[in-house]
Amino acid sequence: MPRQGYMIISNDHRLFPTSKVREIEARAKGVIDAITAEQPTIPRIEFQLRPISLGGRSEAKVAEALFSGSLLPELRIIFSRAALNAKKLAPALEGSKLCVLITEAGTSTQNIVRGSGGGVRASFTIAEENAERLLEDLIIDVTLGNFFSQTGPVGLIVAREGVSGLYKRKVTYFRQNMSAAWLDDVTRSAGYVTLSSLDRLPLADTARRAQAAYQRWFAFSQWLKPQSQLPSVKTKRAVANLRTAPGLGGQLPLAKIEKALARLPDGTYVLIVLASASVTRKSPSLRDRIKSVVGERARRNAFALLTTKEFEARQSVIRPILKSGHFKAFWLTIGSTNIDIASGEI
Amino acid sequence: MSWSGYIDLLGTRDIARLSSQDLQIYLDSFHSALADFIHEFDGDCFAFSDGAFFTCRKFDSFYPFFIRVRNQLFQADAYFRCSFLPGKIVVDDGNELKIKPLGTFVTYKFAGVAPEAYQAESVFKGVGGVVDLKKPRHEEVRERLKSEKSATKKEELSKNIDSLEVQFQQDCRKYLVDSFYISANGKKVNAVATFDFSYSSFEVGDSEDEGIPQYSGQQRLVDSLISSCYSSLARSSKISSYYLSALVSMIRCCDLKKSDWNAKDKSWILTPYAFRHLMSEGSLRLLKDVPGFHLVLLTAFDHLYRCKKDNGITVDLENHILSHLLKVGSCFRDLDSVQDFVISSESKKKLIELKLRDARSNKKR
Repeated sequence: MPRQGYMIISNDHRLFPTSKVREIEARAKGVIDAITAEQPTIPRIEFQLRPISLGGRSEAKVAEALFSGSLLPELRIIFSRAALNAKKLAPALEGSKLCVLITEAGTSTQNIVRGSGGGVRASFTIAEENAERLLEDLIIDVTLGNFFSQTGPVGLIVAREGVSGLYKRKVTYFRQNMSAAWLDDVTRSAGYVTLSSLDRLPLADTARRAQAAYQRWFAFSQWLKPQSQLPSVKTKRAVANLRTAPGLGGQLPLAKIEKALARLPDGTYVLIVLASASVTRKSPSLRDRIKSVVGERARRNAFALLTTKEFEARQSVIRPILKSGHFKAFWLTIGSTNIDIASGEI
Repeated sequence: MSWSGYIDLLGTRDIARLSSQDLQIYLDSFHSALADFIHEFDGDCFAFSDGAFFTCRKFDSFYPFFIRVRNQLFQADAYFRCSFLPGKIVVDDGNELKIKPLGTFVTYKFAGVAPEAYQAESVFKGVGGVVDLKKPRHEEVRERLKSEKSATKKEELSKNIDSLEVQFQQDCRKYLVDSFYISANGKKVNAVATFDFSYSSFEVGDSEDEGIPQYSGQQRLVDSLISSCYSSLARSSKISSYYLSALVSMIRCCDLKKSDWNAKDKSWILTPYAFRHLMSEGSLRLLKDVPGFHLVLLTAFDHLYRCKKDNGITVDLENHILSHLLKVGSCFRDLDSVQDFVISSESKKKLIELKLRDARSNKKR
């Protein structure tokens, strides 16, 4: 069964003619062809876009008629000119791994990706002139996503946390690289985003688009690598050492620390542990500073792992609390085989 | 004078076998297409499942609606056949039966020419329209003529019929095209003459130079028709021959008065896309196994000669067309049994002449 996209549009919409739809599919295929020429192991995914005429009904009515009752596990896109209520679509989309809602909103509006309820992972609001680009990006992204999630860091994440874990990380990665994208904004709540939208190349430049899309996915999988690693021997040993660290007891949330360590890339970090929480109740000024480091849940043994850069930047906040003894801090150096805990105070 | 017909969406059973979701979309596209253009139609339409009855008061009020629906459905690879004949369809919706203690019961009974419309549609083995011009028209006036006793009024009425008929003949040229469909019975292939609603030069073209759309949103149709014909051939040769009727209508809607063949560049000059495409190596390779395809080639030859009757035809074009027809052996077999509406006897004569000339020149070599 091919992956499908339903385009609920009036018959005078410029994307209604089947020839136009085939053009979009063909261009996306051109980009994928250019990728597979370099990477022949990428499996092809059949993707079909279907224009569905309104026939005098409203978009919502058409959606209701199409999505009533039958499950649509292979549906990926619902494209419409009017906003649809994602919650109403939910029953039909239960089996779907991914379904996005695209709302086309006039010319030169902002292109924004938001989160969405129901069976819909993300809701794209885009300007008319970007509709073709987004549809193609989705086809390309689904193909590359399918390939990358079979092995490597992406595969590990999917195996451990399912596709939603992967999609959430894609959003995080996308937001960090936002400046390269043709999309104007991706909100934190978005449940999915297309990595192939991280360029501003012209539609017809399939060769460069192919290169950019593949490199993005590759870079993303590299970025994901540290996060995808499960707690290993080295983190276990490091955690065992923390257990006996002076001034801290067996109360430390070791499992949590271990998980946090496993996700970090190699480098030097500062582990800060809140040794005494009572002060947060007594001194409002300290409380705010402590919360700014370890977060809202400022209980005893709450911890934070800061990079050296972050630590240096916030020394003025952290130093006084260290001095007062409320914080305990340790240098941690994560290497490829071992994690060293520097002895002594900072 | 009333006209009526029945439109039937084809291929629903095949799609139902594959997926119920696809079927839902397919049927939805049919009803949407009708709904999208119903405001163009000055009459009544009753659509249900994969068919629709319609009836209107005037012959020409159906045409704009029909061509729009056809364009929208054909471009989306949804094909149908549609009968159109003089007469009225009367609907009895059985209102009194709807009142029932539990649930509802809805029934529509179609009377008048409904059975004839249904019959005409199901006999037609093609896609597109099938217009019945044999059935007596202007029934209402004829009825009055029969019951009229005064001689002067009788004369007036028969004059009235004549003028209506003249008007109709004019209209009919505007909207209709002579066509035929293939009825394949085992190995025997037979052509049956019909009338179809004409295609615009835009629909049979492929570039900006070839016609302008009749309305905004009109699509070019040749490619989707030919590719559907190709792909259906793999499933059933009988079904693939259905598409030929639309192909014949399209060919006959091509204006070939100015067309020519450039033997040096091996390219067509001022020739509509449908004709160029049909006379290309690629189409020939893929369509030659469709039963009755040779009749389409013969009719294309015939149409070319009709269009060129006044201006004459160049030797290059003649040679090119002939070389194309020679590749399909059945074009030259049993020409006598091919009906005149496929290829006129003059064109037949011309074709044999050309073949003879070709055979002789080959001998010399």
